[in-house]
Amino acid sequence: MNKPLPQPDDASPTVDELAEEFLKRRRSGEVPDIEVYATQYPDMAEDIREVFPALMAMESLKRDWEKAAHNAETNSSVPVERLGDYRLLHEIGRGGMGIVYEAVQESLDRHVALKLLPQHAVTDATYVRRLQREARTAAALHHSNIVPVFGVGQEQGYHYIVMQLIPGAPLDRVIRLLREPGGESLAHSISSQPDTAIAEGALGMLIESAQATPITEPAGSVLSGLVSAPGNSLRTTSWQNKEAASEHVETSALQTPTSSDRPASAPDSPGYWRLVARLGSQIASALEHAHGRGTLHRDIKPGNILLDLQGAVWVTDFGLAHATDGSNATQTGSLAGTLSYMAPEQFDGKSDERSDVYSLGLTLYELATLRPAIPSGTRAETVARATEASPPRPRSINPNIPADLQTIILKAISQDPAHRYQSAAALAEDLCNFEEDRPIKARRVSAFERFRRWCRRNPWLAMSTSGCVLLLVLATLAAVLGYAHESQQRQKMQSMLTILVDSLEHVYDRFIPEQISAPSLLISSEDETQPSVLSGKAALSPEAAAMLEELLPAFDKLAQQFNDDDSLKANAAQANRRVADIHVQLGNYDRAIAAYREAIRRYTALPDAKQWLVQIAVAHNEIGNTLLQQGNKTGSTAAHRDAIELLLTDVPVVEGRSDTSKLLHEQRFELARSWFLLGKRGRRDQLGPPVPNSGPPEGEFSDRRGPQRLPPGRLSGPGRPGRMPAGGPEGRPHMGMGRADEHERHRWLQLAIDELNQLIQQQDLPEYSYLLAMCLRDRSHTLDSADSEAAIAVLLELTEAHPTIARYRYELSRTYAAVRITGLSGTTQESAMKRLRQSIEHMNILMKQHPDITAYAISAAHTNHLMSMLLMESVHAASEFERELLASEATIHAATALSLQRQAMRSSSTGPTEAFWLMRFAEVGSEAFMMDHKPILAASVLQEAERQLVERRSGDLAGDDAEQYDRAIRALRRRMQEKRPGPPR
Amino acid sequence: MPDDDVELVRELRSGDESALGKLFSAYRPRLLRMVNFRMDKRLKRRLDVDDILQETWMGIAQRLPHFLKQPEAASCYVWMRLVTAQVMMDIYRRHLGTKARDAGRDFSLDQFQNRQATSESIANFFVARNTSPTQAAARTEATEQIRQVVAEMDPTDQEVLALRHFEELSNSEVAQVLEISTTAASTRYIRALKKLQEVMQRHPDLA
Repeated sequence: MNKPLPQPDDASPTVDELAEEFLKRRRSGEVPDIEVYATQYPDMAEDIREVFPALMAMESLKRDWEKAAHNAETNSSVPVERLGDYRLLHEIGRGGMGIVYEAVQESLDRHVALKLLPQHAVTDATYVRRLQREARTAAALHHSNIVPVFGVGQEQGYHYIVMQLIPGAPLDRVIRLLREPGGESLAHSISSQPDTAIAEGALGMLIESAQATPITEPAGSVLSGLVSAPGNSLRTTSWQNKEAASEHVETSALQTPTSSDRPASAPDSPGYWRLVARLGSQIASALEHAHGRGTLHRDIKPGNILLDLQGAVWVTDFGLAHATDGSNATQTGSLAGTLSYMAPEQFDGKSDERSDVYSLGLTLYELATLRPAIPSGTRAETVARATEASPPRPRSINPNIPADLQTIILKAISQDPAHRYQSAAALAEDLCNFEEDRPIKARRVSAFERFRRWCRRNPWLAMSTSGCVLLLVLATLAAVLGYAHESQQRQKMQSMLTILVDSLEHVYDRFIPEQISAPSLLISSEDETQPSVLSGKAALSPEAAAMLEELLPAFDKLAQQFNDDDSLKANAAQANRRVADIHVQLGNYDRAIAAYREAIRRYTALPDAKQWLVQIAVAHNEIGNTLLQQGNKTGSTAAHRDAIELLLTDVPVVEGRSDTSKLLHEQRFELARSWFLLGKRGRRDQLGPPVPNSGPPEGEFSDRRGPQRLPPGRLSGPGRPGRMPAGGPEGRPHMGMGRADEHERHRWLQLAIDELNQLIQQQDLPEYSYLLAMCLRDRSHTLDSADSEAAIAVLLELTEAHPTIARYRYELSRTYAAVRITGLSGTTQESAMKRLRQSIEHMNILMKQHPDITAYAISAAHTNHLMSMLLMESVHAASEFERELLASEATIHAATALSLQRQAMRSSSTGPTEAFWLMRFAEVGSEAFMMDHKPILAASVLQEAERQLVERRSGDLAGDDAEQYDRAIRALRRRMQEKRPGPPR
Repeated sequence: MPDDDVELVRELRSGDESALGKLFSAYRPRLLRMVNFRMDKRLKRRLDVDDILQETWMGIAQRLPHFLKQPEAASCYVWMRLVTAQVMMDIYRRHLGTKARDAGRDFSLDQFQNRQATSESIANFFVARNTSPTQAAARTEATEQIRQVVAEMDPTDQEVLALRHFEELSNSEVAQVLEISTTAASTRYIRALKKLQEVMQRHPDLA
């Protein structure tokens, strides 16, 4: 303050310069005096006196900001020293409703917990109402496991609620402690988070008491439970390490016995599971009490349950509870619970006692497995997760969890409230039963029951409920079939079996997503811009694949059964075909072909074989498709020719039948389909002329031209039998098909088109138009030809007329996406972009309609991938300004492609082909990010892809698959080497 | 208020690129401050400021030629700050994905787009909706009112105050950031302070 001011320069300084000077000194810790400045520069004194105080005010505003920013990390500020009778000490926790402080109620000289509404929220009437409601509802509850509420208050513009101070820690912190891998991180969290210290203190006390009391005492069992929790983090050694690491921890609480005193950690000892059950039954009985008074908690979660030093739990935060007798202030519109713990029906705005049971079930799940049942994500994700998926079974996470405990938990978290415990009391009772080793009341849900519930949750299956019920009957029947065969009831059994076959067909149709459910039209995905989505499990949701696996033996058994029985031979053939279809879906091609052959044999042996002509042809064609999947082009062609020959030579004899024309139509349609299958494009011989490579090839996967020249087949190598069609040397267009072949191909397609046109004139069935569109698409020479446009027009019409038939929209989207992306000029580039945009739009609709079908996600990933490459391509010709926009849009599409692909790979058991594409997307994504000047992201997309592949690779894989993963991983690593940036710090 | 390190900038301009790293290190705390101050709190939860600066460094290294083309008088810090702003904008866009345009209204995506201050370019801090409960709770009654006064000022004035006080820029740096003359920048600053003082005098408890 007494420091001499800097002498004025020649030119006298401006007020601003003085202000700058003043600030500099202030910021360096001095306390300059405004008056000194005013005296020094008398001619500016007025300005100085006017401006400097404001300047100091701004600085104090800045300091507040700095303090707040700091506090946001340390969480320990007290906004006001005192509120009425209460003196605030420090923060002990926070939640959606406000921050909780420990405070002293001076008149009574007692410590209380004071929950404070954020000041800025005080103007928000809902918050205030909620706070008051919390007080009223909670004050009406008196239970040894509910935190008592003393009252509410309003002081200096703050609203607060006063509760009994429970010396303990919320369960979420306890769980986190138990989960932490070791003492080091434990020590870290303790020293950095004051409230964790409480959790730690509670546990420390428990450990101490364990020394004093025999293990059978309550506290002892709590301890032994906690110490031997699955996470195993609380072993003696870790506590001792931590003790050494953080001196502020009271040593008295940590006077732990040496490890030799302690039974060498008994992880997963029954103690812990009993503890979980006991805490659960306490919470349930608290809920029972509240429910009995018409109050729902509505936000049960680990963070709202306190574990005290005696090992008892306290339910707190009845803030969201509302009286069940009518006042439903928070109900409409706004979801008022913590999303990850909310019962599915709460998302629909419905809740009752059983919703609390559900949330408690999830809490117990987390206590048992030490991981959240439903990981928190974005809001939309959580809603989707909670309403669609069931969490993994606890014992799949930790096999040591007792089966009964799992049964209780799973019953509590049933999706359908009717399957849960119907009251908190019932849950409490069963938990007590478990704790005391009595038999529990909940029954384990059988595999069939799980299946049935799953059916109910899946709308596309809803209609087949009756079929599902029949499936149950069938399962029983299949078991007794051998016996039945001998029995006198054989006659009856047979007619029942016929019905069962029909029901099974029904179930099958419902199970297979509809675009692949019609094997009569199964059109392999053979165009190069798309992965082979129709082959293998990639096309199925995991549930559908699992159900097919379960259906298979049933069909198989049926087929065998009927084979021995003349009167039911047609059914046997039918069942064989279905078995084959299922094998195709599951990727068991050899077995599929064998089953198709068996079906053909059976059909042909039938006395009225001619009636089954179309079925036989279909089976031939399916053999052709399957052989193509295996890469056997010659065999495939032969099979389709077999079908054609059959259809052309044999005219069905259908005397006296009224459906003659129908049969004829079917036959002609199958003929058209056979021609189409013969003439359709092979995977490799697509698209127009090759485009000059923009750079020298750098390695086996460095070709940047895109997927059309990097077919997945490259991974399996030429000629290798496997999921890829065989091919010749890489990268050669029109491979395996010379001009003559190409000519032939067109001839087949023309035959199909002619046939279809005639059919359509007689009867305009959507399937006819659909196949026509496929023919047109495959005939189109270059992808922007008139044929391609016509195919789009037909598909567009179909999609508009049948917006819910996914197959139409899917093919429409794929046809849009079949564009060339390299070597285009301005206008063609623009139209290609437009088509890709359309494609993405339709794919998005599909994904929204069928979030569980991986094939759509994969397809959308490819389209986005193409889009990003096209955008990158267009960068070269763009102006500088556009360039940045294009590059950044390219990164968006590349990132979308990557994320869809990664999701798809996570959600279903995709093969190494998808691994290859993931690698490819990562490469292109990384290039896009480089182009957008984001080298770090460029490197990180490669890294992330690599990480996922390595993770996938570590699972059990067959030799070939593993090798292919390795190659993709190697390619990525090479890229990463190239990209690694080396910035200084 | 540290102005450019003249010596280092001269080395940089004479072709010694190693000076760039030194300058960046020297400016790092200021840039960090700027990032902290400007970053939307919702993104703050997801992003580490260090990562942003790391990416900024890449951007700076790449765009060095842009700086070298600028006139000698151009402040190196202001240039680095601009690159930081662009990087932040990229990150916003990336994190918002295709929704960037919609969300832009909330996130003040345009915040850095126009160097001339617009209504979008108000420092997040002054906008109440961006205040976390903790911040609000930590703030005293008096500063809360100052904040409100500032929040009602002309956007450019707010920006000038933010740059001078929160980012601790000098007047000439402010002028370059806003692309106005130093006199204009100074006039605005003094005028904004006077306005603030006026309000403060009407509420004696604020002074």
